[in-house]
Amino acid sequence: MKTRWHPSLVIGLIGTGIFLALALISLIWTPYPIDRIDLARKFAGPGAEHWLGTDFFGRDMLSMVMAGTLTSFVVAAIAVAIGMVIGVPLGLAAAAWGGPVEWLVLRVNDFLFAFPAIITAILITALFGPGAINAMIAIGIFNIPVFARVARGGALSLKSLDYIGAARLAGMGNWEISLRHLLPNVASLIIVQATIQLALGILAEAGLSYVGLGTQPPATSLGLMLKDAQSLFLLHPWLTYVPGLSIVLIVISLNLAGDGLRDMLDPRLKREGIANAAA
Amino acid sequence: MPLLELQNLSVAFGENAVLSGVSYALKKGERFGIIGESGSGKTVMSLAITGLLPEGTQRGGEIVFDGTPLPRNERDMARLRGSRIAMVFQEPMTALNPLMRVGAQIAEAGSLAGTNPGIENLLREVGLDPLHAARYPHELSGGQRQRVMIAIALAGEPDLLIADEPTSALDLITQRRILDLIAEVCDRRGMALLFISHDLKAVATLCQRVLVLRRGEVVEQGRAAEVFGTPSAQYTRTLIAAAKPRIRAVAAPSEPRPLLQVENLARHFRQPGRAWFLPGAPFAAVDGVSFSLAQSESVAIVGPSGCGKTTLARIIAGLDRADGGRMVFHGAASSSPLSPHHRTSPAEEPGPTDTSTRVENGNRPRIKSGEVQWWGERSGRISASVDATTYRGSDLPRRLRRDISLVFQDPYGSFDPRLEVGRAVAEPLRLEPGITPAERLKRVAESVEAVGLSPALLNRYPHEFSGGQRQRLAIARALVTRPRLVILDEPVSALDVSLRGDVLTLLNRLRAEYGLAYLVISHDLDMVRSVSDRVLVMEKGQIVEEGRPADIFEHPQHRLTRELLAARLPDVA
Amino acid sequence: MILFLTRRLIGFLVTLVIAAAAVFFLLDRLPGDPAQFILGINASPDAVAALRTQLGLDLPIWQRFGDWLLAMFRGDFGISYTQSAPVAALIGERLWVTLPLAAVAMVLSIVIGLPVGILAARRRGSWLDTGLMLLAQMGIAIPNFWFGMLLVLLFSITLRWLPPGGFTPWQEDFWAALRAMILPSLALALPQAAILARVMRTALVDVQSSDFIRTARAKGMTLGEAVWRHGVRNALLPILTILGLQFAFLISGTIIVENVFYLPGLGRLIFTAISERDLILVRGAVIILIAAVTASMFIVDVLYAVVDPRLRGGLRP
Repeated sequence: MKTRWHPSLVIGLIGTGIFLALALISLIWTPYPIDRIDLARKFAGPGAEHWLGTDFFGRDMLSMVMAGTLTSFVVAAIAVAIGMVIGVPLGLAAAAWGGPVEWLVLRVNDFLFAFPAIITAILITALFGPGAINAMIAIGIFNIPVFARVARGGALSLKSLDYIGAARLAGMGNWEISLRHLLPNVASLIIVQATIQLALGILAEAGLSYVGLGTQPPATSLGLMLKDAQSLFLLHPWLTYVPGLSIVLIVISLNLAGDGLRDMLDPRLKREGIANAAA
Repeated sequence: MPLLELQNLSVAFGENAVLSGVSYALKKGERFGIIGESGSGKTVMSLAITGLLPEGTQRGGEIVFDGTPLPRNERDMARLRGSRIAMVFQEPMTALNPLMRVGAQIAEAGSLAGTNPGIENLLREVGLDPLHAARYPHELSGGQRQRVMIAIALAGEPDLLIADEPTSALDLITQRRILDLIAEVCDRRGMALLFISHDLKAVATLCQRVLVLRRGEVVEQGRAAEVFGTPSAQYTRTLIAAAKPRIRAVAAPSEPRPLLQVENLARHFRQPGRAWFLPGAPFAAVDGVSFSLAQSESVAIVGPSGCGKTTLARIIAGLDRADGGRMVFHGAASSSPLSPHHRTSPAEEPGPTDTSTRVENGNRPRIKSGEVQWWGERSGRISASVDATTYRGSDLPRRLRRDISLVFQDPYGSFDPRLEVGRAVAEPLRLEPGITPAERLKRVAESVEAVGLSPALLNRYPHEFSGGQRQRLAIARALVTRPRLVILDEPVSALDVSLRGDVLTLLNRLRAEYGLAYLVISHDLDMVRSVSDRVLVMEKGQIVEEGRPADIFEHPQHRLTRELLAARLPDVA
Repeated sequence: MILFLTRRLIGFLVTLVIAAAAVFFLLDRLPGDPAQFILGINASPDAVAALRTQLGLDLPIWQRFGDWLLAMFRGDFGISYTQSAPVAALIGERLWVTLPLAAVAMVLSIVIGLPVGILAARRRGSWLDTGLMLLAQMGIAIPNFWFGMLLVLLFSITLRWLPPGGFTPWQEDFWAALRAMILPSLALALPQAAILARVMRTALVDVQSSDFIRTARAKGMTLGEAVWRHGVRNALLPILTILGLQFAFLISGTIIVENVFYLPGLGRLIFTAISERDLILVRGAVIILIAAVTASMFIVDVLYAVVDPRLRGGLRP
């Protein structure tokens, strides 16, 4: 099958790739260690020694951005994984089995939709204290009904197609039909949704860290950098520009990649589906 | 002066020329028919005349309406629509705004055209009760919605009505009524009609002059009587031949042994009640149906849409479960040979057409007297006695599922777009225990060859095949488990008329060679005559008449049978 | 229609009760003894036991849950231990900031987002469309609190038009309170407006190729007229789904954005309560938030039925 590369997919992937690379590199090397405090050098603007300047403790901003990007990606990715691994089977089961199974899944969904990430994060922090793990779980929990809904919606529109009936006649049970027929056909919808949720997860992590419910020092995250800057930003706006712009660029890249992916997959689905008698 | 004249019209999307050099003229009040199959460009032509072509199309040539060329300006063209040229489309289910009452939608058409039609009168003119004006589209049936569409078209008092396949999505009786309505309305108002269809009989009934369109080009045109009586082009002759039912079914064996007995089958559905916790009145889709089917016999069930025939087929196939009654299926082969088939009228086979591939029949064993042979081998299932199993539908035992197959109606939805067709056709082989991969490949190849396609195509995806080929693949999939009974749900309705003959011939040949029994579900009496030797007429969940096709056609007893026969259009020429 | 709504209402109430139960049981597991906490470390065991009985802490858990639910219906959310004031009053006070903020942000996002989406769809493919959608792309990528900071830097520091933060109560000075709301609600509204614009545009573009638009054009309308008269209402259906989720995000957003502008809203109350382990306060605030989120989804369901007659049942053909 020929693939035509969509321009926004390309730009999106390049952007995401750059940030991912920075994040992964930070595992083994950053220009300066992120906890190195050098008060003499605080509030330095961008320059030869510190490409993105330093913060109020003299910490190198570039290093912090690299490490912070890693945290943001990890938290968002794990949250997406939680949402997919639990949500997609729930949604497929609801569509394939119907009846009481579907009813139960829909009620569970309704329940989970009442808990946006911040509320869950508040609860977890009240019980166990703040941390990056909180953020993962809190964001992940709200991802579950999102994926369940997408999977169910996609599977329902397939369920009435005859090839599902043909599979039943061939003796396939609900499990096999879900795995072999429903899942591959909704996979593209799920992947597109995953890129959206990844972007939303990065934004959510930033928000949670900003109010102190997410990543805690000595670790760093882009949201945490903004929290640190909060008390001083009127005098030193640079401290907010750097992490803020980083977030914006990462999220735009992910969204562009998701859009491009969706456009690329959509026409193929349309072509393979009902033939449009244009003539 | 002609009302509408096309001068050398050509339309192209990018590099594809969809129409080239189309020219004809239409007089005031004349009824003109355009005959075209899928891919002919007929819809693009109607869109060009009404200025509704999508963006990015190049148009050449001239369209002249009432002496002046069509305006290029969108606003002027829009004003021409509705008030002088009106259009009725094919799909009534999606053509109306679901959020607006139908009366308001009709009134809007009137106000745009500057006329002031009485909504109630219009509704009555199209055969609807005026109280429908307050309804929403989803509360109306397909036929009713199409009548609303016609009312909308008439509201502006146009001079020309373009009807593009207005009845293809409707069932037989409704089709006839809508066609009659269109003819009546055009007569009464002195409106010209441009009627576009693939159905020759419909065009022949309605139109005075016709034009045959193929792949964007005019094949021939002229007065209907001349074109149908003495066609000058080969394509026209093929179409006319395909419209005549010439194929005769294979006769059933003279000593029938029972295969399937249906006893008093019933299936109810719950309708939503008045309050959410109250159950509604049950609605009987299948209401006490009894009949029997013999080995190698072909029985058809005909009826209008909603009569329950598809539900019945699904229950027999094992996809659904009956609430009452039972079915007895005689499964395994007996050790004694079956009685020989007497074939009194062999199936006719027309000459090769473009799309099907012929397969040599030479070394395939025919039915020998004394035994039914499958592909040159004995069928492997021998048991000591005939096995009669009672079931109600989805409780059909797994070992018997390979004996009953179902061919679905829609060739486009019946294959998973992500599976290669080879794997899709092989899917039912899961029901055969202990089959080796080599044996599996062999069976799939045999099935596919039997339907006239080459096994080399098996690693392709469904979207790479045409509708007719996909339907053949669906039949191959049904045959791969060597069933005794094949249920066919509207096997040819989704195909072009010129392809239908091939598929029906194929079905007859397969049945003759392999001794298959068929249960054919359809609304089309003529088609059924070509493949079945016994017909059951169904209405509202019950069988109301039964008999051989010839008898039913000549001496219909029940009111519904008479209605169905009356709804058939007269033969072409 | 009434039946549909009653079913939805019951569903909403059931979800709310179950969510409340989840919150109650979760917070109940916290180690530590509230009575001990209130009386301090040096309190005698007898005094602690007496307080426990008084607070009803030694009753079985189901009974405590039931009592708590009933009390909430009466408006009694308990007494906060750290502030020695009724929780309901404390929350109520803060809601005067949080709710108007969310409401204004919601209205702003609709008023900005929908017209932009409609405009972009009408001029599909033009420079205007590309430009607007590019802006929208950026809008959805901006964290609302960072955007708030940028707004402060621009409007308060550079231009000096608006205050950088703080809040005067409505009763004292209505206009000052309103002025304090402008920047925070803009910060919240713009990213949501960007989402709405994109969804609106996509929905309208999709609707353009539907059959009933073709019918409308066949009646005599131009494409633009057909989309405006028939398409927009149909395109509202996917918008409504988004709006329901939007409100959930807006509520979360207000809690975070308050931090940027030092607004005395629900957010600060909760964070202080968490750090001081005042669980009764946390519990009450969380329930209010959950109720707001669930209620908004219920309202969206109702609006759906109002807009789409297919959901209201009606006659069968």
